[in-house]
Amino acid sequence: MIRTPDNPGVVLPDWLELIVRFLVGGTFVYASFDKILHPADFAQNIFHYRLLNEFLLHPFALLIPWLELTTGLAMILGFARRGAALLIGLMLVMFMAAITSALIRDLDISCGCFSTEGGDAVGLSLLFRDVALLVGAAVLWFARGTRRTF
Amino acid sequence: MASVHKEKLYSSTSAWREGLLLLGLTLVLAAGAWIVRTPRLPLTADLSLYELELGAPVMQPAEAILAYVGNTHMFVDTRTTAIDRRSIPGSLNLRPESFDDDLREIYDFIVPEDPLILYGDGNLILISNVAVKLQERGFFNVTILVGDLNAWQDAGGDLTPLTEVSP
Repeated sequence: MIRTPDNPGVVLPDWLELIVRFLVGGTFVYASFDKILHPADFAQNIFHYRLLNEFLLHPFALLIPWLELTTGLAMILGFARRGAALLIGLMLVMFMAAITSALIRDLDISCGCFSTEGGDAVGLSLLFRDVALLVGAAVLWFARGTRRTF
Repeated sequence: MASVHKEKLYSSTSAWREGLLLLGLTLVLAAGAWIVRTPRLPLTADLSLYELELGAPVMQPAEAILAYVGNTHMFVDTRTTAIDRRSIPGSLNLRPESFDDDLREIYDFIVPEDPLILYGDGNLILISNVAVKLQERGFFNVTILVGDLNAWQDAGGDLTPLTEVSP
């Protein structure tokens, strides 16, 4: 990462930026597929967190997977890259808040992160994974690389 | 220094603008998929359904009527005591207390691959028990109809006087 006097942002080498974009974007695209195909099952997963009421649960279950897909694709393709990094960052903060709240309340539930059936149990490892993704999104938010598109 | 600050401000604004653009795109895609795809997930959730942890997915009466009209599913009556003498036309009987006998009776009419819609008197747990038994016997395409026959009729479904398949 190089800082230049004229450019306050972080300049990433093209190859590194591409890898981070694929890792973060690819994770979100992959995470969206099963949820888009099975919105009712995803709603069940969200319900287990017991954070949303009847008016928010289904709209949330319908919107979040598509948001993951669009932001993930945008990130990979380099379209609206910083906007995608911003939205992915906000989603990750929201996911981490939900996981933390489930951990505090000692809820024994699956996270619903990648698969609507089974999947990882809510635990600290999920928080670490989300932190890692958040770091990736933050790097892309601050990055001022020359590679704008794939 | 001022130009750097200006650039930062512009850059930040454009990122928010990009974010809004992606949000708009998401809304269009999600709404389009919700409209095109059936059965649609209702926008307001019935949380009691999620509390129950049923053994099979549920179906709203309006969706079940589409399946009935399209003749895509077979309907199975799981009511033990038929206080309500009506039933969904063409439905088969599969009662919890005589499950194996009833299943033997209707085995000529259904195969495990058939999509089934189970209905009852509105007690989803009882219907779910039948769904689980069916799944144990290899019937995995099982759905539970939400509500009782009044809900079915209110949604526009046909009803006929109850005719028992098994004694």
